[in-house]
Amino acid sequence: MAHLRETSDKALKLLRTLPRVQIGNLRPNPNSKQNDKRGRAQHGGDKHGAGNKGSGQRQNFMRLGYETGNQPFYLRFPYEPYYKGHHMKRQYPPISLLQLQVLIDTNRIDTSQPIDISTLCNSGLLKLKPAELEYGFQLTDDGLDNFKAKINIEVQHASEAVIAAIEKNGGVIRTAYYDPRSLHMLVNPKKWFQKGVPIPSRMLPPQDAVDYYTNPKNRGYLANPEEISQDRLVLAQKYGYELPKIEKDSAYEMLTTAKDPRQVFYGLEPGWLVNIVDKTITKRKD
Amino acid sequence: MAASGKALLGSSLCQKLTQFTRNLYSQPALLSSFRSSRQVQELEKYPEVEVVANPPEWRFVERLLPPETVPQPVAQKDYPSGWRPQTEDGSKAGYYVARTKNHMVPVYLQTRFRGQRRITVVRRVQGDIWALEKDLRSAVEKSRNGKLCATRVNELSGQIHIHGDHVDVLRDYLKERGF
Repeated sequence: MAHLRETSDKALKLLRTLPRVQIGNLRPNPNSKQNDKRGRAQHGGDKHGAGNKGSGQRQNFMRLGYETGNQPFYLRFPYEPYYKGHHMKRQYPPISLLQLQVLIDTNRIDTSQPIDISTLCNSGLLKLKPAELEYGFQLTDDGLDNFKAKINIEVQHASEAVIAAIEKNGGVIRTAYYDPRSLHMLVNPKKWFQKGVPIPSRMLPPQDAVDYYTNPKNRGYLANPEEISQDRLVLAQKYGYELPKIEKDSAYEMLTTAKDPRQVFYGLEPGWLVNIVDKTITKRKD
Repeated sequence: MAASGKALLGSSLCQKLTQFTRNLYSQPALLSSFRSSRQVQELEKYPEVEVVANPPEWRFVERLLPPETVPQPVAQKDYPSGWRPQTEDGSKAGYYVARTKNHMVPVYLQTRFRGQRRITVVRRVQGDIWALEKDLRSAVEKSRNGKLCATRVNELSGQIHIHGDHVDVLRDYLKERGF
């Protein structure tokens, strides 16, 4: 057993130099592990742990889900209606009012400018994947009581409580639809400008989204502005707050900035070509 | 000479073939910008354009370009979200917990075994890590009415592991202390 004593001596010597012993720098004792070599002939060459006969020995395992003659579980129920068209449904990843307030507090978002998808994505903390059917952000009511910022924000979906929370602070919220191509431009505008392609116009919403975006209760971008201003009052009465007057606000111009339904970027018209290397814009002469 | 003539013939034939295939695919084909693109026409047929240098709309473009570095937070009276800037430098306490690059407190939750084992990890600890471990443990034990809690200190990597989900407690505690 001389070699074992040597080993333990070595281990003790090593321990004194090591700062600590923990699961990460431990290894099995020498000779404690069995050799995983497959024995041949009389030296353990019988069944090799695969058992006698059947799929264990021949490795012809049954296919996944097969229940040896039963009607398999995955075929037992004929129809799953709640999955109908799931691969076509538009996704709206959530951001909460708390997240938005944190972004504002840590100076990741400038509240003196209108906020849209590109502002949120340019913060570097939120991601949107138009290729995975994500059609924009929905603003959720988490952290609703602590939201204190006055902003002009454009999201793709918002609940009534969220709309009330933003309008209570004197802000403006608008829900707007973007087609996947426009979303692709908004997610990374710098990369898109580097393509050197004229800005296309935004598409109108698909038929099943028209109702949502023409409804003044959702602050839809296609709704009648007069109906929206009336609904702002109605919502203020419902939630019991006094509606701050935007007309008398010093940031009136910023708060009332809105995109045209056919416009993708604020202030840039469709058809223009932006060159970010030479800092020029190519416009049509008319 | 003969070889070059052959090449010329080949190129013109190639051009004709391209025209032919383009005419074949007069309907715009999906996923192919070449086949769906219109042929180049004479310059007069295109609208006149002007290239504007230093346009007044450039501020809208600048707004769309992302910042190259993480912006520094601006000092405010109060922060409604509960986030606070770091005020302590560790000279008083003997230890220091650095903020992340995003100005957040480095307290995280690690879950293993399908969420059955929850471990709170405090990272980026510098200085007397054992004193911090003592303080954090007392804060956690206070929050669970004196019930003991197990901790593990890794002084090499500057991390403290605390058994259980105490992320909110520890984040608030560290923020209160100014870290």
